[in-house]
Amino acid sequence: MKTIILAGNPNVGKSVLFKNLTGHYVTVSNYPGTTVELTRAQSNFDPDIQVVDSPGINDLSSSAEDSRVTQNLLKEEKETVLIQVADAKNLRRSLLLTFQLAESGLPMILALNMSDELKQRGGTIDVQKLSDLLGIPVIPTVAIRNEGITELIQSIPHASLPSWDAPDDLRKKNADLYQKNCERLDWISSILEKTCFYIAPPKPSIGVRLGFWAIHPVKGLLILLFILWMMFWFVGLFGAGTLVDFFETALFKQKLNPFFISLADRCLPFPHEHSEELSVYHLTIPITPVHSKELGQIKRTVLSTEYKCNAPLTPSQRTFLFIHDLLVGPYGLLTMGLSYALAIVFPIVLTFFLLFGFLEDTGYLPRLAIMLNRLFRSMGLNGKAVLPMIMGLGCDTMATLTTRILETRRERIITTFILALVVPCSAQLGVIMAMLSRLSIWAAMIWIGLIMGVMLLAGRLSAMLIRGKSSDFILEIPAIRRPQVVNLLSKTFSRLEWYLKEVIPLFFLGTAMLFLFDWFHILEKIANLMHPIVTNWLGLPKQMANAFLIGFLRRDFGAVYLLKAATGREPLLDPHQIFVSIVTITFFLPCIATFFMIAKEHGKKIAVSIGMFTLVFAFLSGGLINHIGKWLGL
Amino acid sequence: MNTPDYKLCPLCGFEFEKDDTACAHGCPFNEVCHLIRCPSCHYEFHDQPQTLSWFQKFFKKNKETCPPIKGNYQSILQMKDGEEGTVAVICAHGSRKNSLAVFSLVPGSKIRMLQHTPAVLIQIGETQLALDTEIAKNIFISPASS
Repeated sequence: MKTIILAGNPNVGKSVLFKNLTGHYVTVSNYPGTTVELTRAQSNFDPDIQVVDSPGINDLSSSAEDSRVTQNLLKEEKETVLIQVADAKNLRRSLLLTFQLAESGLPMILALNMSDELKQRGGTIDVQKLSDLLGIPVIPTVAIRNEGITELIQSIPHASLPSWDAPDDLRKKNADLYQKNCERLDWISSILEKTCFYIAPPKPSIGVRLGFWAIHPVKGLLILLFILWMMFWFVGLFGAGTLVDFFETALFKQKLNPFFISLADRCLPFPHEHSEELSVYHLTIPITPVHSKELGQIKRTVLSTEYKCNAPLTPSQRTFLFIHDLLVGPYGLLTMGLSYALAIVFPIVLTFFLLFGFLEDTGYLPRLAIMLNRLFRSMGLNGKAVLPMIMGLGCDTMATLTTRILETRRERIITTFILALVVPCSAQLGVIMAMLSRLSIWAAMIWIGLIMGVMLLAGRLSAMLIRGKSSDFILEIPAIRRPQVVNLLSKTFSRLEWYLKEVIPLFFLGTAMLFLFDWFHILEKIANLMHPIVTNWLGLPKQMANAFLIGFLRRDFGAVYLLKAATGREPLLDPHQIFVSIVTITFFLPCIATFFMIAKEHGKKIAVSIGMFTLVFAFLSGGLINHIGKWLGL
Repeated sequence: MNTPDYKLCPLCGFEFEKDDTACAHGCPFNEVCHLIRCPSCHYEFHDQPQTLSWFQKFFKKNKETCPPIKGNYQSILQMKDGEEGTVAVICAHGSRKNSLAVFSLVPGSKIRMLQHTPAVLIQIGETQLALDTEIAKNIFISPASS
């Protein structure tokens, strides 16, 4: 079987090209270094050819992890054609890599990607001459619009070993890496003089200007505030409000749950009567946290999960009762597990990933890295940590995986630690916002202040404690691009798929655990056991032990449980208790999946110490807030 | 938090776990030898006792020093926004120098200063590069070009 390896600098469009050649989707974004693993797939033009997508590298000779992955790949694969994907605008850097890749002795093709952006900036490349000078086929492409792909596929049999008359020094094997790169660059300059021409356009385009505004000290801050507000409206108000309401009340409470209940009653007959309740759904468009416009409402009388059963039961009917309760009881897999996962978590995560994908594709995130570089410096990190941090607002498990793009181990551990401790994932954030909206704006302010304070302090302290080096902040800023709708949707879809695959089993597991504990009356015992912590220390009603118990599985599940307690018809919690529970659940360990991901990335020892620390810290800070609040008489 | 024993190669700057050393298996010096071999560049160096490194950390000046440069060179931090110049000297350790070189920032390349805050932003060809002030401070342009 033949193999095609796609290699090239970061953010030049390898992953888009991979999708064009195979039909398989890998996460594509306008941020350097998104691909951290090798992806393989069969090509869509010849079943005998396999295509491999490799992480973007700037320097093949460097000892960083991603370039070692590529080095090993080049050594191991047999019968290979190497397609170097190059950014046509940055030919100098691409050719530097071409020379390094050429030393692997594999037949090569050079794909000049993003040739449209080169044209926009007034540049032209003499493709034929470049091909002659390098001795390999050179194909201009625009991968994102599928241009030049057929030519690229046709040129694969013509791939050849690069043949050029390089200066003698370059052929020396053991020259110093830096010296070698300098000589290569000298020689590239002479090639570029013959092949590459620039006439700068008189006026920078709107995209270029927007790109500069985003990193301006004043305008950049305004744009940042605008984006934060947009995020708050779209995820916090629209996603966690309108969409959650729709999924939860209109879909699950009024349609699906009664259907599940009547279906279960028909299949599992035992004498019982479900009580009915009135459910009202308001379709609203949010304007501010307190104002909204109502567009309509639906009133329905629906079956509730509670039922009366007085008659004595035969053993077979008891079995039916058990299965009935497991599926559609108050702790039912369908009525609680599935509806929490799909009706509350899903809409919030959907809106967040849509927005995140949009920001990622426009190329705003590297600019955000510049804006936040100083802040992150004080935590022993640098601006590059912004991608995992923002990703953590979506899903902490995914973000822990993305910490791989950070260069040193110390930075990876500090980021993982901060992610686990303070960064709430979107599902949790949405639920917390919904709970905060029951309180005053001051409570929200104190909560945000508390999170920022803990983040800075924890970052500072861990930077002092964890040995190792910080990396340099050298970051290439990509062009501002208009996001492609198809790409945005498929990216959101693949992330949602990943997320739901992880979430739904855990929600089922958590619900089943709660149900079994309730069935065997262990729940009360656990509540009594946690009584000193939950009631005496945190000052919450003892049923809330359940929330923390399932919070071990997923902290947003725990948060949803708290939300239910805080907003029902007879709220179990008063405002002070709501605030205490919000703080406690914020600092909880994200979820069991994050825990395993930390263990996989950094080892068990670190995972256990991060887990223990967040747990103790969560209860400690919750209790402190409780006692200080009471002492101040709030 | 207790981090496992991590070593930093003084020659190439590669970070690796002590167990990953490139020493040959079954080497007769196994127990007596205190040298560590970097798996990336195979340079052998001596393991530093922790107490010593602690003292060193305590007394070390935090700032990186650059040897005095003769001639009338100007740091790129002194360039105005929009000004162009040719890089003459880059004062940095090996791995940093190389990571700048891959963005084609080497002595002789033409750069354009774009902005100073919140981070230094320069343009080399069509690449826009953001740098820490610490790094930019030690990049110099020749006086004639400014």
